[in-house]
Amino acid sequence: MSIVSYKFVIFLALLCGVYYLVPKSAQWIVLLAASMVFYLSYGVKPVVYLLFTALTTFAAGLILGNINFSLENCLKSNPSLSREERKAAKKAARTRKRWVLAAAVLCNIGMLAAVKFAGCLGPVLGKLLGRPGYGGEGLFSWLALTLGVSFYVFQTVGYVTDVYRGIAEPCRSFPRYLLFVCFFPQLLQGPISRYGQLYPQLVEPRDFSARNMKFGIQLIMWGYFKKVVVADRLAVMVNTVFDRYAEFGGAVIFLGVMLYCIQLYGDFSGGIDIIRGAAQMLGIEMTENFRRPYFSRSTAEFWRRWHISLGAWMRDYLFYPISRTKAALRLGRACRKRPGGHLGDVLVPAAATFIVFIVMGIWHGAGLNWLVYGIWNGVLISSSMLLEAPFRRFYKSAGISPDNPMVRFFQICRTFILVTIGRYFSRAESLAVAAAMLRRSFTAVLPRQLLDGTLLNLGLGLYNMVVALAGCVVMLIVSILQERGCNIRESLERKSPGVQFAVNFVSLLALTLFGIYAQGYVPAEFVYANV
Amino acid sequence: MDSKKWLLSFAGAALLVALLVALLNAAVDPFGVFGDRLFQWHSANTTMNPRTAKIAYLKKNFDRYDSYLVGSSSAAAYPAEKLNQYLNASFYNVFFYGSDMHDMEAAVRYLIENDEVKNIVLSLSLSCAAGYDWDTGDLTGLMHADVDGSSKFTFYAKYLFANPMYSFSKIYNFLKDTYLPQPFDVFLEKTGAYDKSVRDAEPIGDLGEYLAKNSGFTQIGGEVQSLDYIDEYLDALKSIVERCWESGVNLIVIFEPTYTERFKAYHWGQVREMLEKTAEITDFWCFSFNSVCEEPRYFYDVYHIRNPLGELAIARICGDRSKMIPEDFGVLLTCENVSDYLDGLGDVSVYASTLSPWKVDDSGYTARVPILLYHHIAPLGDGGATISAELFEKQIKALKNAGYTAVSFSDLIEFVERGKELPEKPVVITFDDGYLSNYEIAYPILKKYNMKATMFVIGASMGKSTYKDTGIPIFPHFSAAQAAEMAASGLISIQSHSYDMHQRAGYETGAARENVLRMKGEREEDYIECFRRDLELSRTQIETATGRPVNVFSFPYGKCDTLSGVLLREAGIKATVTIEEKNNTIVKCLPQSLYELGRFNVTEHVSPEELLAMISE
Repeated sequence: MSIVSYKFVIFLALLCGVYYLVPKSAQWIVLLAASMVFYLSYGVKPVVYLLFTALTTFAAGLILGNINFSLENCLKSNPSLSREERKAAKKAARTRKRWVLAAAVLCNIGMLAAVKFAGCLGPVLGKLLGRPGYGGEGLFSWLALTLGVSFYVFQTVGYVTDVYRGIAEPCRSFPRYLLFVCFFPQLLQGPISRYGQLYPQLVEPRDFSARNMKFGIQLIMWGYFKKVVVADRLAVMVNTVFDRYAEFGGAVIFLGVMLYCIQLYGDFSGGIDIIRGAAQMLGIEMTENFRRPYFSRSTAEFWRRWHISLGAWMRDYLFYPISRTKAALRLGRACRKRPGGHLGDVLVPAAATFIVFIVMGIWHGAGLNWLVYGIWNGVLISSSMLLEAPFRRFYKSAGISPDNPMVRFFQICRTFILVTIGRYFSRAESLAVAAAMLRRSFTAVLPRQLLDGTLLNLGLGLYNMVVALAGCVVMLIVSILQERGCNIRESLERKSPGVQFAVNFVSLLALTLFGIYAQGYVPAEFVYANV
Repeated sequence: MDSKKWLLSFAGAALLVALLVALLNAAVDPFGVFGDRLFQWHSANTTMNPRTAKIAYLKKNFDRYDSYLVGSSSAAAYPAEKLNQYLNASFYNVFFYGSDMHDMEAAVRYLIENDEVKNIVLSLSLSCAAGYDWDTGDLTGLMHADVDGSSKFTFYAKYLFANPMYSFSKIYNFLKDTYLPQPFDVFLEKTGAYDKSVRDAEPIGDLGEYLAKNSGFTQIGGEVQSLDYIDEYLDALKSIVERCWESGVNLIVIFEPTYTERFKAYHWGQVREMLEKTAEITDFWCFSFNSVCEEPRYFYDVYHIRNPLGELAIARICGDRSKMIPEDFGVLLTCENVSDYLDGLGDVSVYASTLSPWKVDDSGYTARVPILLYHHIAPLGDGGATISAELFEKQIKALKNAGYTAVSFSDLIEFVERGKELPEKPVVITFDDGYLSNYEIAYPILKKYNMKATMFVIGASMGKSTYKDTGIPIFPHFSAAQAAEMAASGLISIQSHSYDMHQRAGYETGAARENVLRMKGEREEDYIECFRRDLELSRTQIETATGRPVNVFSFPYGKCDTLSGVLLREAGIKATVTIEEKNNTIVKCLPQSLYELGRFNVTEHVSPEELLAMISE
């Protein structure tokens, strides 16, 4: 069931009705049932993977919780233990917990890796077995990438790690835990929620709130607008550029990649807004996942504004563990002792960041192009960390304030261009194609193609290009207002009823004309062109 | 506004949007399902979806019709007007593009249940057995609920809440609609057929040129297509036949003219089975497997026979012997003769594979006809378009000695329409503008050598030696009496070069209308009215003088376009000439081969030998 389909709207409407009508103690059951129905609409196989993850991480959480509980009990009930004995007990508990955590993480990350790389493993196995042409049929067909696995695996690994660290209490009700894992709005594209933030909201009873319903509907409409009116239209042009890049000059290719940046933002953040809006209608606040990322002044800032939940997860569950290993700490200390010792402060974080972004790249996809994508971002952020101090000195010596509007504008443009370059690798079907497109962007620019009508032949047509452009302008205006601290929903609340009605009407009309009805129009001219 | 009121406001806005969409669609009615009271633009509605619009039209107009053509788009070639004439009926063409037997059966059932039907002409094709009950699922292909019995609520709701783009598109098209059909309004309201006025006015001549413009004929692939629905086809056919028989409806079944090369993509065994089993159910006229179907020029494209040939098919069925119909075009197949007939054909799939449109032998039904163009004849030529009397006579003599026979346009028309053979080496001699020298010098020479000629007169200059009423001297032009004398001889045909659409720039007070094309800034309606009036004046003037019909037109300066061609055709002009220097190929049964004929401009620089070489290319 696509979140931009009529079925989803009807599903959500029915769910809200049932959710607020049932006894409050049963509300979480309604959510769980709805989530399972939603996921089952994609087939049975995805549910099998989901249940595997839910069971293994639930069990791990229980075991970790029991270990913590046992240790606490042991220490409380034996106050006479010596310091060494207490230390030994803690160490033993920590060791057992590490094994449990490692097992849970390996099982699930291993499953994630297997489904991600199943497509690549088949031919490799075929080569090893001396069976060229073998693609892993039968063996790997069950491992084919399954819906949402990247998100719920990370979410549950986060839960297990939080329990391990003692930040969260283990969940003792499997059905409730299952709801946390499979809560339907977040299943397909996140955000990756934290147990402590999401779980209590899922199981708490909720009263109907007209305000939540209102904000939820507004968010959903905004999400639909970004996704269906803007992103789906730009996708046509982007696909043409990427599929037939050899026919275009570098200017058109670069424009196509920039449009991809906007398309991806519209699609991803639009989808997230629909998800968050749906959750808000049910009284549940989900993590913000995008915060106007193209206003970032550096790549590091970009990744703090783009797919925020993934970045936060990587930071908490990968970056900190790496940078706090004994080896990392030793390295840092060693660097600080040498000349240029300030490097010690940044070298380890930079290295850890680099590793994190490689993992991030691979998390997105199995191809080499994704690896390069991760390396590209890792290099940018790591090097900016290493060069931060010299840049600060430069600005100071030049008498330029970093907050100077021209400097800010330059930084925003620079960051956007750097992000765009990275998108060559994330969108192209292979590393070779990405490299070819990038090379062509600089060696065969052909700027006249931007003005000679080539853009009108990228599959979209003038009318839809105008609609897409208008949509982008609306997105830009809204983003600028939000960047300046304006809360648009609350501003609208203060307007007169007439204005609010007009905004609703215009929004719905725009969504209807340019979104809902965008597909399916078959002009008669196509049929009768030669009659 | 508090949140509860906001929710109500939102619901109200949503309802308002839905209401607006519904009102727009109901008012503009792009598919014609709601009666189209506002635009009453049936042609556009039918173009959008003939399955809904034609039925909606018939529901209001059943009393106008008592007979129907049913089939897919190939049925459009059979002219309702001719069927009306032959069968004394009132036909409407209910064809739907992409129609399958399921659609046809449903349509016949609907027609018989809702009207007193006298005749049904059912057009069958290979596609009838290649698919069954195709359902595009979109609004442009949905069958009317009254026909297929589906839920009317769902049907009307779908169109009420259809994509508003259809309505906007109809409004936009309405504003830019023109006299000529456009891709958004290709149907004729009264007959339900395609409006082929543009395609039927396009000039056709040499096969190579035609294939270059219509590459579809040279790109027919051999990917085998299977007739997987023969059983469903036969069941539907049987149902149609039985229903017609029970209701006393005269059913005429036609197997459409199929471009022969298409058969290479079918298993001949399946085609045979289809035809043999069809004959077991009903007699039918078969218009495939003949010389007509091997000639690309007789088809608009590889799937659709041209209207003139469709007219001949109807003439064949109705026994009209006044028409020239190729002998092998159309045979009535019955259960008694179908097997022998098909045996006689052999494996048509194999035969079709040997065909190539480039290798068509058209010598039996085409003729190569050069046309000469003269203007003023003077005792001495001027080195340009005016040639000397001496040279003119030498040229005429050379033509005669070389075995050329001067023919008239009537002879060409007879060749095309009635198959009357032309002489071995025909040539048409023409004169433009109607100069007095044509009467004083050329006419006697033509009489001497017994050579026919056609003179195209400018009506406003007839009998004059000054430019209209300006007093500016021009070459004198022959008078109506002189035209009558030449026409009475039987050698000279007087035809139209327009009445006053060959004006001279500089001689007119305002902008000069130098040719028949629409002038810049001129409204289309005004242009059409002006053109028709001019032609009528020219015609009346000439026919009054000569007593003979005007059915040939020479474009001033050779300038022509689709609209002028269509207007001339509608006015009954059967041949048009330009000044493009080329030889001409005319084709029997193809009236369009007489349009925009080229002419060799004969000047003082053309010696008799050069003239002969020019026209023998």
